[in-house]
Amino acid sequence: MWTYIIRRLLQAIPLILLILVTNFIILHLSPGDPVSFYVQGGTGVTEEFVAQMRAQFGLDKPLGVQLALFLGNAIRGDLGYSLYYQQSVIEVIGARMSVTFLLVGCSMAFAVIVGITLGVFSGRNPYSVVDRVNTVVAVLGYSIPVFWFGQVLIILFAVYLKLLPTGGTPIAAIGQGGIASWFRSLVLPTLALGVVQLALIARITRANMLEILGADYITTARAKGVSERAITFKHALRNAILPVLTVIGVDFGTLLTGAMLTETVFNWPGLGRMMLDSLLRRDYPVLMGLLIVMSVGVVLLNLLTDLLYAYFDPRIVYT
Amino acid sequence: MTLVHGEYPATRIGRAARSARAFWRRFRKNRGAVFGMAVFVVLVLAAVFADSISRYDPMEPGVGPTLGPPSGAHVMGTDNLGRDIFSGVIHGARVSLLIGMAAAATSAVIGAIVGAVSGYSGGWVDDILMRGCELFQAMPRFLFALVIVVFFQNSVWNIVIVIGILSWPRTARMVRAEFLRLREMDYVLAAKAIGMTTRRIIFKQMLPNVMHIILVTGSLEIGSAILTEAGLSFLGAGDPNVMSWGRILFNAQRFLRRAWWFSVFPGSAIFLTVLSFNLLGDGLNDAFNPRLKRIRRQ
Repeated sequence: MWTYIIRRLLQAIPLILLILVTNFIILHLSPGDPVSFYVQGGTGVTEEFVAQMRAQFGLDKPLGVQLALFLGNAIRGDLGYSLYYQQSVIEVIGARMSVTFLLVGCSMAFAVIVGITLGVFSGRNPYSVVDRVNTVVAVLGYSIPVFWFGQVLIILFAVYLKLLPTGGTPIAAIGQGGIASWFRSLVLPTLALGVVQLALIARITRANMLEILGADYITTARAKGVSERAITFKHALRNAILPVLTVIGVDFGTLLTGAMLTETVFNWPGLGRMMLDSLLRRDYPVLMGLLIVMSVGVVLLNLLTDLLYAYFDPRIVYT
Repeated sequence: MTLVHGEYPATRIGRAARSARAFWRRFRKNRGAVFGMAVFVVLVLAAVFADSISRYDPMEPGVGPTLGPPSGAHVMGTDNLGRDIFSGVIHGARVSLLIGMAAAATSAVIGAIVGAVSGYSGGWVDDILMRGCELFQAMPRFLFALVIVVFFQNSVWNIVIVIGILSWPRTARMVRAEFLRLREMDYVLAAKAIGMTTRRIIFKQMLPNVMHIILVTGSLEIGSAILTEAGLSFLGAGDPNVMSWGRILFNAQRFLRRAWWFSVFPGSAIFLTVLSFNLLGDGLNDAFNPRLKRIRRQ
């Protein structure tokens, strides 16, 4: 088990490196750099000053040297210093990570719980009214643009029904109105981001439940007199859940992208927003830091889903 | 064209027509697919006749009141600069369809070639191409597109190329899987035996047999390309010279409290369009493979 985990982590290193190197090269080949952006519009900026700044941040060195320096520092846990925030990249990212994790975590939990419930119900009662509604909702949910759904939720629940806040940070909300207000500010973003995943999970769970409930071992279980509840949850769902795990793992990247769009709609100060702002400011150190966090996140989540496979299906053994 | 013994051109045409009719019969039964087809036709008409359908230039400010609600003169209302939203939505169809179809075509061509070569050759060629495939799949696609569009140039064609280049792996994998099966078939062996070149076998003999896979994934790919473009424009990274749906939503973000129409109409357009391509893809898939399972979406 541990050997497997370690091997998987080692295997991920070349992939992460390749993503980093590609992005590093693209960032540095593009026109404009952080210094030219930083001094833009400033008065009395001399050529010497710009050159001095470039030298200070190592931007005057050849690309290969810059890359080697960056990777060397990254391995030692130093991701560099952000010109714009005047802080180390680790601090900048750390401060905002919790907001994004909160959003992604809540959406994922919402999508998994509701999606599996709907999928199981539909699979047990195929072609019922609820199943038909579920199927339509799943197709609609898969096609809706996350950011537009967020806007519609704001218009409906915040502007017209005045039930929920339009946005604002959940952390600030604690200070204003306690836990209830914190929860209220989370509802709309979670719904907006979770619905695509929900649709996908419901659809796959339904298909798998349908297939498995027709299997011979389910008939055997029924013949033995196992209760329907036990058949559904112990015999069928445990097997139907594996492909759902795959979807969660594969779609984690999509979820992060969605988080970026959702954060923009609801004005949340998370990593997604920072990514966009840093792109516009050419803040290379922050961008590279974000890419590291995201690719490592994707790799770890994929590993976690593989390990969960073994939990749900004891036949799968990793060595 | 070589004729198999006892088969004449006339019967071949007859058979093709019969299978096309059978295909259409199966396709027609799927109400979602027919709906998707209808929306697609409306979109194409809107895109082609955009200039005659809309009364105003979508980019021209002050043709109506500022943030005016829907009215007889402006059926979908006006935006913060007094531009006509209906004209924007109609012209947006042009941008979305162009980007969606061109990007999907780009990814289909790359995916088909990579998948075909990979599946036919096997061995180290297959290994290298599939590792490349995995690399592209592991990359956060949207973020990568955003980086390139923001840093280089956010023109329509740049967006098309970026989306196309980032989305070929799904097609490549499906085509490869089918090629692995096809290369063991007798007709491929026969083609090899008569000394046909590898290129001819792959492109003339085998590729036509995977066209249905390319068509189905292509249709799903159009939907996702349109979503990607809308997302880029929504973040302000779209082509500044055209009025796209995502761009209207980007503009609408600050006025959600005052003008619901500013967001609701263009967003519905994206939603309906993506929905129609997804339904169309499902319908095509069911009609092509009546007994097979659906191509699974990732």
